[in-house]
Amino acid sequence: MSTYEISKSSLLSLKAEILRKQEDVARAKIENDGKIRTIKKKYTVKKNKGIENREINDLTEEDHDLLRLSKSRLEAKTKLYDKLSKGSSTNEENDRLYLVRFGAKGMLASDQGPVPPNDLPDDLPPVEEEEAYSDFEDDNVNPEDDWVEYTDSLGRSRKCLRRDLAEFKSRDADLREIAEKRQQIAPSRDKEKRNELATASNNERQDKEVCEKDPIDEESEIISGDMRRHMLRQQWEKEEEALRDKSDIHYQNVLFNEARQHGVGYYAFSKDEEERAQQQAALNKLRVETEKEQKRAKDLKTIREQQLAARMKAARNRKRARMGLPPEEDDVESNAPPEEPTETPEDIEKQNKKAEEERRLNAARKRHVRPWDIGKDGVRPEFYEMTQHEWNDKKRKERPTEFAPPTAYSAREFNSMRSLDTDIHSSNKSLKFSSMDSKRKLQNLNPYKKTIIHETELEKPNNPEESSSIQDDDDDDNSERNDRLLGDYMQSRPRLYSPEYPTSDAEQHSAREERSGNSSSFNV
Amino acid sequence: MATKSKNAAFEDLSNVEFETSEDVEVVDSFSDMQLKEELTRGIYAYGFEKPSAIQQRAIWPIIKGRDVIAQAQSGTGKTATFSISILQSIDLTVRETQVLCLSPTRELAVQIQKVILALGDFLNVQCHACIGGTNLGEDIRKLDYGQHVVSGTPGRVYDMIRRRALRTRSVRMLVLDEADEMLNKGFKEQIYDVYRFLPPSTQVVLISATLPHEILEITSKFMTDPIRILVKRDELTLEGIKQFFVAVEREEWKFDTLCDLYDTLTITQAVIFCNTKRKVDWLTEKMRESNFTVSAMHGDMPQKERDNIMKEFRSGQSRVLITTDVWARGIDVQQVSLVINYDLPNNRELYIHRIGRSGRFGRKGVAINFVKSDDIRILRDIEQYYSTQIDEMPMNVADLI
Repeated sequence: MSTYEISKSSLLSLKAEILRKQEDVARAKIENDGKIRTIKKKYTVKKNKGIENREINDLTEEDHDLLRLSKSRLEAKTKLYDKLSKGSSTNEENDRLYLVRFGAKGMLASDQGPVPPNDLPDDLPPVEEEEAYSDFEDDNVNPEDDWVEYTDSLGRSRKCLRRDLAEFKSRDADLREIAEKRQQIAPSRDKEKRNELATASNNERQDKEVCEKDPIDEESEIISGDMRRHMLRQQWEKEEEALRDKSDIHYQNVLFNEARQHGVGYYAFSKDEEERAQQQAALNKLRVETEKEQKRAKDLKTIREQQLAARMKAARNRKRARMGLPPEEDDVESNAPPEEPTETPEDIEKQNKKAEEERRLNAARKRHVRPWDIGKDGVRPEFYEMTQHEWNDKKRKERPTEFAPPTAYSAREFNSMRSLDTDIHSSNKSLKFSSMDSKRKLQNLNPYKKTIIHETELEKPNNPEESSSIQDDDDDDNSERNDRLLGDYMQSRPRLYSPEYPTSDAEQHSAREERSGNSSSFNV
Repeated sequence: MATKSKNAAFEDLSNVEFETSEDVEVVDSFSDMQLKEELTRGIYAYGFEKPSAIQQRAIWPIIKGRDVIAQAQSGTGKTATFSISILQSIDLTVRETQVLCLSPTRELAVQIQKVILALGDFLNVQCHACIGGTNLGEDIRKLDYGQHVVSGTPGRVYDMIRRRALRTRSVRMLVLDEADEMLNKGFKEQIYDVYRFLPPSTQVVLISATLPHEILEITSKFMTDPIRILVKRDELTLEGIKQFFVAVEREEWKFDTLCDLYDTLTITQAVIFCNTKRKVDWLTEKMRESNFTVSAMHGDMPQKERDNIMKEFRSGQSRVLITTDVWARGIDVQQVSLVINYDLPNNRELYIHRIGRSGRFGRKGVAINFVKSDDIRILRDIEQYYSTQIDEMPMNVADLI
């Protein structure tokens, strides 16, 4: 629910900054101690009237806040403490987590039950009280004899009554055992239990109203950094476990305590699907209401404006009547919204042209076949319709040279050769990027020469569905074939388009060389 | 003769200068983009208020269905750019994979999933991270539930397609994040394999902070008349990221320098880059021996461990991360404000990506390069190539973070 979070690191950096500034100030003070003091003496601050009163008010307010804060803190602490001492099911885990044996405390407390503390039964004295009361209870016995000192497992020297020594020793042994256990946490076994604890405490807290904070944050005062990290890991593991069988995953499910600043509009939806839906519905409802309110306010405003205009008009008319003039005419023209500037025919034409161009380009894009798409289901190599000039040129290339017109004839005299370049580049907006000079494009213009020959090969099963059935082993084969196909295709494509696929040139070349052995007859 | 002309053609294209397309419109507010209302809410909730330069230019053409090649400086919202476009273009009533988003590392794929889920929180979009190192059966089951978007790494995605767990029939868009890496030698074939399973003429979107010429050249093989939004290389470094170097005479001194800097590292969060996994292990061990708290991550660790380290770093539990170039690209942790190149990167592009881990979305950042005497030449080359400034580290470097 907390939508506004200040990350720890920024807090830390702020702290560091403050410390630094304080140091600076201190240093400055030492350096020019005298100066500052003299200035201070001269300077008398004049205060505005009533400011002192307000300051007092502010102060008390602040104090109140502080009190409330500490009170709430204490309450939260009490709750946590209560929970820990009550939670008998997780005793064992608690023992390992905290140095205080909350479980034992709880048991003792419940044993004592309603018995008032001042008439404790002598046979079952609680440990804490023991030491406190011992002084005056056993007054008549020689105290020196009964007190013994011993060293516990943590290396502290402690004092106790001789008759309690055995019990203390056994407790000490327990403590050592627990400590050892904690140190060598066997992850596999302890993990789940710890998880249970984490989530159990989590759930419990959500039931109570302490739930505002992260469980780990709350207990951070009691546990160490390493432990916190360990607990976090387990918490994440648990969260992931829960995600495993969830069909719908949302942002909150994968956030995993990330320290990220969100926008003010961020709403941390519940991880529970139902609750999430409810929250979204509530938000939507709020939204609709807001929109309604906005609309109403807007309507109200326009109505008011209209009324105001009407009143103004009435006032003007009265004035006019006084002056003996006829009432103002309804000037519809002025009320009507200013007409949009009429578009000049040029603009319209421009727009049309642009739209036309866009349509043309779109069609061209749709027609375009990407080299990597070739061979997929339903993809045919882009069909290229040759212009008459290209056709002529192609035919000329096929023609034996001895039948060609004598070289003495200049090309200009042949109509068919004149506007070749301009034709091909009639569209100045090319789909391709190329700075190639156009003449080169005219070489090798026959797109059919090889396409027809390799058509059969292109038909070969190469659609995704079929190749997907091929298992791992012949996978390499497959891609190799695809590459070969690509190479073939590149070779078969009209030279005209070759600049579009620059890097394929190398492949193309190699492909050509590769196949020149077995199909040299096609290699013109 | 024929080969000669072909070579000429090839050379010709490599001389072509690729420039930003002429007709790129600029839409300078999210509300003007005619987005779904829930999406707009998700955008604002995530913390975006005004679209960044790349978002102003690239979102609209992608939504319109054009192929787009988009380049922008690190940390300027590229991931959000295509995520917003994806969320706008998909049909949420159809629970089938409509967009496939490929990235070079698993962590990045997971991060993209997160961003898409965040921006589409109000849309209740379903996005699955399909990455290696995870349970296959689980992956298949997740895909069986039906996902609108799949963000993954090429290997696992290809595997899922071949097993027919990931059905590509409804895929309308392919996004390659860190496109230059994805079309590099190591990945290109895998991309080709995946592409062969997509319906013909699928919309393709390429995104990266660096797009070298040779990558732009091959885009024509699988894109149709793409809109290009490019950044000149002298505008590629960010003003907000201050770059420094520390000259050391011997390799051993790098470690001492790092220890001296440790207090600075922990002001917020820091990433230390080494060139090899072994060096990461070595440095981590050495730092720990000297009682510095650091965490480490590289590609040889089990995925589970990588996940946990990422989560710890993202949650701020750990503050200093020693890692390899697996972390160089795309990973976004807001609090990282310092990057240390313990070793200089192996190429110029990686330098841009590495220092871009700091200074996220307009925040300040500092990059410190440890250079041995013979490395200074390389650093000067980088400096010149990007027309940027890399000064000797000042004493008050902590003030800049």
